[in-house]
Amino acid sequence: MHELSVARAILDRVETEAEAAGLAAVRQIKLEVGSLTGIVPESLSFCFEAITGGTVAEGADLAIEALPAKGRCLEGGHEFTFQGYAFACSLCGSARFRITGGRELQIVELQGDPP
Amino acid sequence: MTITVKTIAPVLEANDRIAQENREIFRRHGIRALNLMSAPGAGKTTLLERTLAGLKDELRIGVIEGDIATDADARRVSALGVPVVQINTGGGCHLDAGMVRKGMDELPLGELRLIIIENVGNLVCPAEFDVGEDEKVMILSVTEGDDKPLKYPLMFHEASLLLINKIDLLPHCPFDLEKAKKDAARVSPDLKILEVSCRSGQGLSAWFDWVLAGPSRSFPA
Repeated sequence: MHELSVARAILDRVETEAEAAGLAAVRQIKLEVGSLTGIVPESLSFCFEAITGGTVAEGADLAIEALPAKGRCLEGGHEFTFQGYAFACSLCGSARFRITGGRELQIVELQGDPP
Repeated sequence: MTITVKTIAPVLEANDRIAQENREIFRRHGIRALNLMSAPGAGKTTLLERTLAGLKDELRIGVIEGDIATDADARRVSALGVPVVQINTGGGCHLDAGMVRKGMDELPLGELRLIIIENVGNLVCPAEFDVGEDEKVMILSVTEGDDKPLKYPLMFHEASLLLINKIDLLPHCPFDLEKAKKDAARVSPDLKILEVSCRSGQGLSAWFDWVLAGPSRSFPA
């Protein structure tokens, strides 16, 4: 729903990282996105392309890897992944768990050209 | 030649950092901060009005009003004579920690014991952004339908308290109260649930008690 503001935040971060690494142009950005962030990859890619014209990331490919939602059960300590909206421990069925994964939104790799 | 740079660069790191700072500022001032979330029209502003009218003599309360573009809600709230700051998100679907900080900067924090942050009406995005609150309070109104806990589980899972509002309309709505409560408990077993009507006032004393007592569900950090 807020992909445009996320795209802007990604571009900020890419510009900082590219400068630090001495990249003249960024070709590919690998991004990890947790399934609980609610981010729609197609929408994010569309927004990203729309705002990167004239920047170091113009034309860069946004490679998005979806990360599953994860929880740790507060009853039995079981660690599990869950699909989107099945909010329960896969072992005992309890919904008394702490979310331990699925909220990630991070750049893990940049590929680009030297000056 | 292509250069590959491995990194871990959290995109929303800035939000989480500011949220943590907000939490520290609240703690330093002895302020409890509630993040009030619901769909549009569920009754957030009406709940605020009733709460301020009912509690402003017992508790120094400040309000941060999130809204996409207008100051209509802030005007309703300021009519009750409490400090209120309007934050317009300019189209944004949620409040973030930086926006809340701007609001905090304009409130007399030293004089307050409670800050209620009214988030933008939305059942998805506000649950994803920590703004530094102590607890999330959610409103579900009976006119929205009893299917919401299973459709928007993250928000229910994150909330400490659920207010089921507009219960005076139960006779007129196909809303199965027991099903809604059961489904909410299914996604969040420790969620405290109160039934209220901000129009008739029914159930509001239990909500006032909750605000004054300050109990909280606490998951290990």
